[in-house]
Amino acid sequence: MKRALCTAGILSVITFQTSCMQIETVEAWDRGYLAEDTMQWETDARSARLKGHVYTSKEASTGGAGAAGGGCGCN
Amino acid sequence: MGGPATLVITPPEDRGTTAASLVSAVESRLATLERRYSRYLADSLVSTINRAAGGGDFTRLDPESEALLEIADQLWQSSGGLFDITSGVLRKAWRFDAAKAPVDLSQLETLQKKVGWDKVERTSEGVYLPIKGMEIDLGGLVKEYAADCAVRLLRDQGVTSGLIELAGDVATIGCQPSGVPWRVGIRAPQGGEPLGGIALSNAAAATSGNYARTLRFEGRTYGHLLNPQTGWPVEGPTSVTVIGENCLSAGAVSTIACLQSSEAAEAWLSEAGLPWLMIGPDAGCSGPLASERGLTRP
Amino acid sequence: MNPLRSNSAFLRSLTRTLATLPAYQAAATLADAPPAFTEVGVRYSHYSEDDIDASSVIFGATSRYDIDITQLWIEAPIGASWSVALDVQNDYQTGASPWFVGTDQNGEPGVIMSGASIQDNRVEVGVATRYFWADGNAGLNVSRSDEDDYEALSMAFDASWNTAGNTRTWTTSVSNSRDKVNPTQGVIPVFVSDEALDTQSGYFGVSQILSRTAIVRVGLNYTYSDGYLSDPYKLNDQRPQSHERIALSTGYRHFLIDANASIQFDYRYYADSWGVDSHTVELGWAQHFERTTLTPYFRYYSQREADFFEVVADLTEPHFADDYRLSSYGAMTLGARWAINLGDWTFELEGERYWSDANWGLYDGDSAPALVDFWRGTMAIIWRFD
Repeated sequence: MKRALCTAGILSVITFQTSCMQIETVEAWDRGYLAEDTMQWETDARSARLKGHVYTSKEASTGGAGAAGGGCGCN
Repeated sequence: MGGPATLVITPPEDRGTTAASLVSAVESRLATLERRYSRYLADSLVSTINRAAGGGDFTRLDPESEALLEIADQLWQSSGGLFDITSGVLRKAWRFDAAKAPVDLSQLETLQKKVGWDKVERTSEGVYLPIKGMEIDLGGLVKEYAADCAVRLLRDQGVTSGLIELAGDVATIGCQPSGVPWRVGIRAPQGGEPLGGIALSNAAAATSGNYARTLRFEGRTYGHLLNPQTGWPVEGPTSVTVIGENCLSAGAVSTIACLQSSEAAEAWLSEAGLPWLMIGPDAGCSGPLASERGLTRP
Repeated sequence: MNPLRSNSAFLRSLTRTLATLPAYQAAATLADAPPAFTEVGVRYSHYSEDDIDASSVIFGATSRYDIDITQLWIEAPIGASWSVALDVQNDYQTGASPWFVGTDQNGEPGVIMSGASIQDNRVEVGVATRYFWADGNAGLNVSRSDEDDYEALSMAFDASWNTAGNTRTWTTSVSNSRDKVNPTQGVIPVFVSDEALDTQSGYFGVSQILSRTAIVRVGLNYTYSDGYLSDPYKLNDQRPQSHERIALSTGYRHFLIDANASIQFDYRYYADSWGVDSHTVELGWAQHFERTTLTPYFRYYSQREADFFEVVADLTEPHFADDYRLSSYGAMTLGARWAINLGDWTFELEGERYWSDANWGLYDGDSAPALVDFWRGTMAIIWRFD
């Protein structure tokens, strides 16, 4: 029960934060900064997969911003 | 358009277009607009419309011309009739280009009968000027529209850094190649050092002024902007600069401001909501752009 | 509020009229398109765990895992709407690991390490294809992983599409993996053979452009596994036959024009049916220089122990485990990534150091003696050409 409340609390904080943020229209030609590689969610998909794989095999958590991928014997 | 033009572009790296090809594309777009809307060219659309005045026949319009006349109509309405593209005929009474006898007030009453956008008929057939001698002049609008067309053409070609200036109106794409916004100087009416600078990035700055052509009559100096309702030159600001998203919007605001008295212009500019700077007849500066730069009233 | 967009009645009606002219209409929205170039790359990483503290060891060697990971890939566009990729990864692992946790003569918990070092090689091959259309793209990925004692076959499908004038991107993905475990008898005695487990996972998320320099995203991941989920190389390890997990993640990226740098923030909340909860926060500062980018980053992680975890496993319970990876602890990572772009070639170097400690966590729990610290170094060479 306590855990469910905690999750709900975090969920609402995140939703609140994102909906409070100001959204401005950005023209198609004005997306130069957003196109920078350091502004992407993952600078490199394979490098992110590698990092994720290391942490997943050493910690008890999985998942992040994509469905869980292939298996390995690292639990 | 008849004024000086400057074009600065950085061609996009990945597309194989050269600066020369982009410049010639822009030049040809501007030339097309001039051929279509210049009142000096006998076979332009505007000259055709003007020649047909009082003859009974409507002149058909393409979507672009229709839109430009719609804009002219909107500006006429929003300015309380001060912005009127039929007021050009008054220049026969106020001859700013003539060296001698510039003012001929005897003609004023006759000429005023030929002025009045509300008289112009627009239907699905096109446009018709009902009185012989009536003329429309799209010069001001088309100059600003041309700058915006050039910007659009360059953006479609992938240009992300560029500047176009047509007779004092400036439109920009992105920033300078160095990454710093484009810097444009605010001209002092009497010439000489600019009053200050404006930083533009993906923005346009339009300046309307009453100081480019003047004449002296009975001891007073008059600017070339005429009030279509009185027939006399406007006594208002010396110049107004407005920054907007595109040249036509900025230019509409600045031109309508210059057609009013200085006080009315200040109220109009505040209401319009874009950054502005006004130089009054007393050479004093006002507006948010002026206060940002420390330019004050005398 | 854009200072060049006024709300005045005059400008609003003028803008409406201008919108009828092509010169003032928004540029054609850029279609989602496959990469313009073919990419070939190799990445090599070395992962090395610190020796376990001798005082925590009751019996066995103190050196732990060392892993060499090599990734090779090629990704190419096909026609105007497709792309295809081939990925090969090889993991070579040596070292000893904790076998179980017992108590020493003073009653203190201590680790009995596996005997001599193991040597294990895993190869994973994956093929992926992606289709692009005007407002989105979708991909299918199939991969197979093989090592002496473990085989896995997985498939994943993902799709993303743009709405709201291309300012919002919705993403969804589903994946399935069938794994077979056949532990090798050797250094560590094992008591199972030929087990299997299945995992299904789904993700749904949305990303929103906030301004020309900021973007935010939020997403939810659900994973379900069933089958043999215990660790066959641990003596005292009996986990439930099913495992449900959720992860709620959010991220933010902001480009600071004056600093010529990006701020990268990511947060994940995780909870599962084994009683584990965790929070992960990642912060990065990506600094652009003329040709290079340097991104130092920090990661904080904190997890709560699994319901059936005990430092010394309680064998009377239906489920039990003494695996330090299921204990309560906190961990911090400090790392940096450096990349340089020279025409068609990109070189990357990355290094990080990870420390874990039971006292750094947000949750209470007993400290597992086998908590690990490690460092990882990676280098990559990527060649792009058309």
